Amino acid sequence: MTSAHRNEAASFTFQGRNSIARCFLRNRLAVASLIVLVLIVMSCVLGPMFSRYTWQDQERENRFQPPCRTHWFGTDNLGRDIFVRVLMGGRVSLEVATVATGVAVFIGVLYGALAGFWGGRVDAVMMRFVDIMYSLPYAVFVIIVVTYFGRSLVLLFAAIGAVEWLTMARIIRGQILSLKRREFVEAAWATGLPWYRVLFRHMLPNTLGVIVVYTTLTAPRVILLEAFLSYLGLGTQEASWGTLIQDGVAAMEEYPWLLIFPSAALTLTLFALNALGDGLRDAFDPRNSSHP
Amino acid sequence: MNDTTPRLDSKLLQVKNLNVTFVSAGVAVQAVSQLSFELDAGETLGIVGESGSGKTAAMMSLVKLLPMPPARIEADEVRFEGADLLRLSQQELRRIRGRRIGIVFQEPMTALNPYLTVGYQLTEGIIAHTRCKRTEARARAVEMLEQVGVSEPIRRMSSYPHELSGGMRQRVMIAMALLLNPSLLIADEPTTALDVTVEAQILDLIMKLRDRLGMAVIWITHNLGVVAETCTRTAVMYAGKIVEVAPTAALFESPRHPYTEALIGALPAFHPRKEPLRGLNGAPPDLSCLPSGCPFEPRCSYAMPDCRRTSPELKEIAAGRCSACLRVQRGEW
Repeated sequence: MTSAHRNEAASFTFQGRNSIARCFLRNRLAVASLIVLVLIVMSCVLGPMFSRYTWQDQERENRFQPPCRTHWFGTDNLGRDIFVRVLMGGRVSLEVATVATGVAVFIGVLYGALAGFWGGRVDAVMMRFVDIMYSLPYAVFVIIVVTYFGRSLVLLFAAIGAVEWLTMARIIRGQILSLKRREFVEAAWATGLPWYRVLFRHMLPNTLGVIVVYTTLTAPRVILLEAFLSYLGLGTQEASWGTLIQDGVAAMEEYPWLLIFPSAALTLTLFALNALGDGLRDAFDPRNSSHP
Repeated sequence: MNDTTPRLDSKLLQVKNLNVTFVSAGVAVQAVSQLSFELDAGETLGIVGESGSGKTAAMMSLVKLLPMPPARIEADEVRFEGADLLRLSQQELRRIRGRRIGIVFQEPMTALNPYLTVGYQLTEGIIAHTRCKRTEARARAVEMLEQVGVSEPIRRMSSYPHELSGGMRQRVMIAMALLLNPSLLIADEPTTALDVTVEAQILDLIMKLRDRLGMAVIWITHNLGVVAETCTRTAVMYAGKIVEVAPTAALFESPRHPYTEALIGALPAFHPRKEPLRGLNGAPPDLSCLPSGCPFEPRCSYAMPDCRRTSPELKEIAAGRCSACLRVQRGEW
């Protein structure tokens, strides 16, 4: 009775934090995805510490072992354990995903918020710049940067982040533009707050849902872009999922496990991130609060 | 009236020839034109008019709370406590907003930020203006919540707006507007969105606080009943202009403008029971192409040929009374 009442009141204007959590927990796929993601991250971080092998230990006598009890995912052409290599590759891939997504979200949110907030000519100039960046074929852009400056992890973060912030900037700008006309923003001005308080305390928190959702949708794209670049030989020199897949493709016909396991890890992660993003988007959508 | 030495007067607010224009896609809409009025300290002025008559635009433009562009605000003078508001920098204006001039908005449902607690929204204004400590600000906020009749103020401080009822939220809005003891409160239809019973409570509350704190109130409303109960003086707006200003009692007793008369005639409480209510024919004029004559002329039952030619200005017709009607000014009504 009380919860029905509260739901009714919430759906009127704003969905409370509790109801967002409740809506999210009802989505089984999203919850399962979250659990899977946590497991993947934990095993990538902790797994290699408990393994008998390191990612570069070579057992010359055990080259190209199919999956067995000692080597769960088999071994490669130098007799290295694929299981540990997949976990280590996960570390690199997830690291790239976290940092590059973080960079993209930070730049995108700040840029979009300022453009939308200042409006007028500033907005026009800032957004034309985004349009120009958009029209560059981004994969080519990243390839050029990486070939020109050489392969390094930091550069990879920067290059991917610099490409992925554009969409975030557009989304946040749109949100801020519509928030500008809301009454509570006018009320914040009427209180005599300085502009940065109005923007960062009153407007940006209202875009939090969009930011969270779009972040979870950006992360898989970043992972995929990293894998793609690594596959082309432009990514990191360390073993990431992309480089493992590249190695696996070369030996795919005789030793399929070299391709299957890293691909499965990548696919599972991407799927879980996408499902999580979908679940969060639904949970943050106020129109969903009318659901039972 | 024609005081050219503004230092000598005791007026709290003096507005001379305020114009507000909205320009969009090359079309200029004159929302407020040639608006002039004065306000004494502690006085309550009602601004009455239909939706779209420019009452909100006029009052919000005083503290530049309109989006600019599209709005353009011009005036000979908007003098408030010795400062010309329209010529202040953003910084200086910011110090007046919220501290000297408080504003209560129409929609308590949307005027509070859904993501911030009531306590945060109450205290941030105090902290921004006085740089006092958070605990001190909280104490003041709790005290103010108590004054506006919010029960369990300490618990309410950590509530989010969606957990409060409409009347409760409007009380919070009022508390927020009054926290720093402003000398002027602009109340923009603060009771329109509320139940009638709650409306009476809120009216009562604002009037009580006005007397206790000694502030002036500008009451924007389309509800003549509210004006009759609360305001010492009333200005009637039509098509962006003030058409009549008078002490409230005199205004209701003997309106000196056909529009005022029509408004009162359309009010059930002021009407003989047996006769049907008289509505007002026609619609307000399009503000982007106003007629050259009196804007009310097409709907006016007293219109004469001259009304079509000259747009009458607001002129004093008796002590404390102004009207912008040709007939009245010529002594024919």
